Amino acid sequence: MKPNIFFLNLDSIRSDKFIGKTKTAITPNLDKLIKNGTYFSQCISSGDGTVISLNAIFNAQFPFRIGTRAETIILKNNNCFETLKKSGYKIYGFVPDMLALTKFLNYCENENAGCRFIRQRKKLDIEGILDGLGEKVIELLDSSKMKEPWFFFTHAEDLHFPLAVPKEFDNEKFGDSSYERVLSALDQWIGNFLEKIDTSNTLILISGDHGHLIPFENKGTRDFEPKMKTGLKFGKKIMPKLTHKIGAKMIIGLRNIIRDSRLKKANEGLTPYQKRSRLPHTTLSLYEEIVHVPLFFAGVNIPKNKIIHDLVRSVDIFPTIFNILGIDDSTLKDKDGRSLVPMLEDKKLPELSAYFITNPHKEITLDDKIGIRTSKHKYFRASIDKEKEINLYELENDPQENNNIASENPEIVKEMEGILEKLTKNVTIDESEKLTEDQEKIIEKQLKEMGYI
Amino acid sequence: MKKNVIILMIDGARLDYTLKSSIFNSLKQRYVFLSQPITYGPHTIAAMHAVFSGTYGTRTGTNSYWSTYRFKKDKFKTISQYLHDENYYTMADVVNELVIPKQGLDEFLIHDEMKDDLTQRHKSFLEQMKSKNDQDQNFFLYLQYSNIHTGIMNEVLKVYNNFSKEYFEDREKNEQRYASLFKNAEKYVSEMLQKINELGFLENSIILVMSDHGISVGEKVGERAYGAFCYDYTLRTFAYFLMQDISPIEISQQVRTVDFMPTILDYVEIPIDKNYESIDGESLMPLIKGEKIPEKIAYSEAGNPLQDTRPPKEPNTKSVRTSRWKLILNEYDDTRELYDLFNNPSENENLSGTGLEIEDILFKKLEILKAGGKLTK
Repeated sequence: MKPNIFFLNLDSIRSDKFIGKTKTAITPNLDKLIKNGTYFSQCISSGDGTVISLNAIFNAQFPFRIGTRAETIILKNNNCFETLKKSGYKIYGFVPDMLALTKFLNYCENENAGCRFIRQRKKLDIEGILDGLGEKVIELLDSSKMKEPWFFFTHAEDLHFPLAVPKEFDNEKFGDSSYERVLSALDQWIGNFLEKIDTSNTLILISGDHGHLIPFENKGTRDFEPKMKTGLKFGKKIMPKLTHKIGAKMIIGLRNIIRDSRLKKANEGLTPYQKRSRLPHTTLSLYEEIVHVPLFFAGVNIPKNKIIHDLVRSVDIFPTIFNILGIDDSTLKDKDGRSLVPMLEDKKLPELSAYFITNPHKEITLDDKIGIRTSKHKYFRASIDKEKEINLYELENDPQENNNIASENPEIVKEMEGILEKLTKNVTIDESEKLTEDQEKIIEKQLKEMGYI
Repeated sequence: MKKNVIILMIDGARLDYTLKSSIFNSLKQRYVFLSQPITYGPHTIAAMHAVFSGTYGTRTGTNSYWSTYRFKKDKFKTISQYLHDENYYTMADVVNELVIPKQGLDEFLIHDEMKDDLTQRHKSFLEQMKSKNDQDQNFFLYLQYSNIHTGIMNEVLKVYNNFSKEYFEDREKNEQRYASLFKNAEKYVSEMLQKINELGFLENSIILVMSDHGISVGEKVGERAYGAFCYDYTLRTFAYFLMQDISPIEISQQVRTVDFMPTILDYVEIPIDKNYESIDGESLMPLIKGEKIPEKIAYSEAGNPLQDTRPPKEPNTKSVRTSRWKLILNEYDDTRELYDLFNNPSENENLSGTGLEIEDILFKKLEILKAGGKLTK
């Protein structure tokens, strides 16, 4: 019997908060687990948004092959779930019940795979591990309802903005920020899950889709806004209804002016990393805090207490799973990911660059970025204009990307742009774009018949 | 029951000829007439994949004569699929297997443009649909009238090339040839509408009479028919929506042919499926009901074969258009053309490089659209 697979995907998890010196969350269960497995300390996601990143993981392809403007999960005919199914795996899991993820839900054998995900006005009501999803996972792991070999995938939103810290964890001893306190709270559940899993027959995997901004001194943009509720209420009372809309606009305008002025003052003397940490969570970004994610394996065939520092990419996840478990993935065409098994076996693999792109705005602007990361450098620029918004960072000496060295290093910029171009050149967005010889013959014949050739 | 959907697609019909036609003008008086729809592609394959998916070929993959099989069927849902999913019987009769996406069609038929009597053939399909409709079965029928193409193929495409002097120097002959072909198309439309009326479909259907693109009658050397340039004689088309419960209206505002699919779905009350990628088109129902909606920039692209005898595999001529302005980018030689369509509808005075601010504005929009991006309001 093939081993089972337990894949916990934490939305918004950052590598530097998962393990290492800058982590302040208290996570005894996770720490113990990490000692029993292999951690890839330099794993790079393919994007700064959930859909773009999960599409890359699920298809083992970079977004330029799948669709850089995808708003929903795109599972190609030969996606990783199909490969699992062909190998006899039954798929279970939980993901937010949102249209963007519906296509994964279709693969799930369990009935209640969709978790509460309600967006009302600007508020999100999400069923994370801390809000009921944890119990659901335990119940399913406990129920013997899963037919072996199973593949279990959970995408948990607890670390996504807006963060809700359980009262008992909202304390300095559980971390410096709300983000890390939530991670401390999640640790207990990770421990609970592990208790229910037979690690001798299960491959355990933890990773994330993208990172998160953690505001410097716990003060993000909105924390600098003056409170104007009383003024708004008072204005509503005394002003005629007709003027409410314009009045509200004026007050919001005033609020933003005050906020920006306060923020500017508070940001004085801060590093670019610290300043951008205070930007709204929706800001498009390819900085490390957003694309550098954890990748951890434990269980079947995984070396213990090992940390691999080589550059790897999220697109490598499934090819690695398949290789570890001896699953034939030859039907995955044009995959960008590769198996990391040789690295687990202490063999050196030639470095492959990581490609990433920001989650596209409706109207593509200079904020939309595209880029490449090697173990040495991070390069990104405006996705619609290679001459604009050019950023280059030397990661070894500047891991927080404070000094853009693009203008002083045109040769490196050229080299990185060359890698990007080479990677994306002549790439058709999906397999169906490539014409077979027969198709080309049919077209040629028909075009001739119609007088076009 | 929902309304049935019938599309009569008059391949290659020019707007200026419909405006002079008594048959088309009688439609204008009774129904919704759109006099400024802009096609995405000035040739049937790209044009109709865009209409069926409500999305430009920059995103669907079908952007040239060669790209039917590149249509991203897993990402874009066609009007046939939408209607099929709502239990419509879906049927299309077209000139060859490349011209529309097949997804969602119960019957995909190909006629012989040289031999078949399209009027009789299509009337018989209407009768078939009648029997289905009598059994409470909704239907979608897409009928391509291809005989303007047939004449152009035999008398122009096979005779001249894009630079033949004798073709471009005899405009009168070209116009006569086209007028004769158009006359047959008028007859077809007239007879089809009569049949549609007899079968009672005017009451329970939405009928779209449209053209995929226009055809040159020798306006510009370098394009003897269509598909090479982005000028208005091929890009600007027409559409008549026959909807019994909607008052007649002439809409002269620029719209895009990618708007037709969401308009039909809106009318038959079928929501856009969020499981697929978002579409570029927008419903024109507010406009049809007399409301105002802002004009959208229209994007088009063509493949100029230049001296080659085969059309290129990727578009190399791209344009953005408003009612007033058009900017064309000729990628094969990196030149631009800017036209003031109000004052120079024949697009002869290139204003590119004269310092007009609109050029930069449109160029930025074109850059976004050709990259598959979307414009906000």
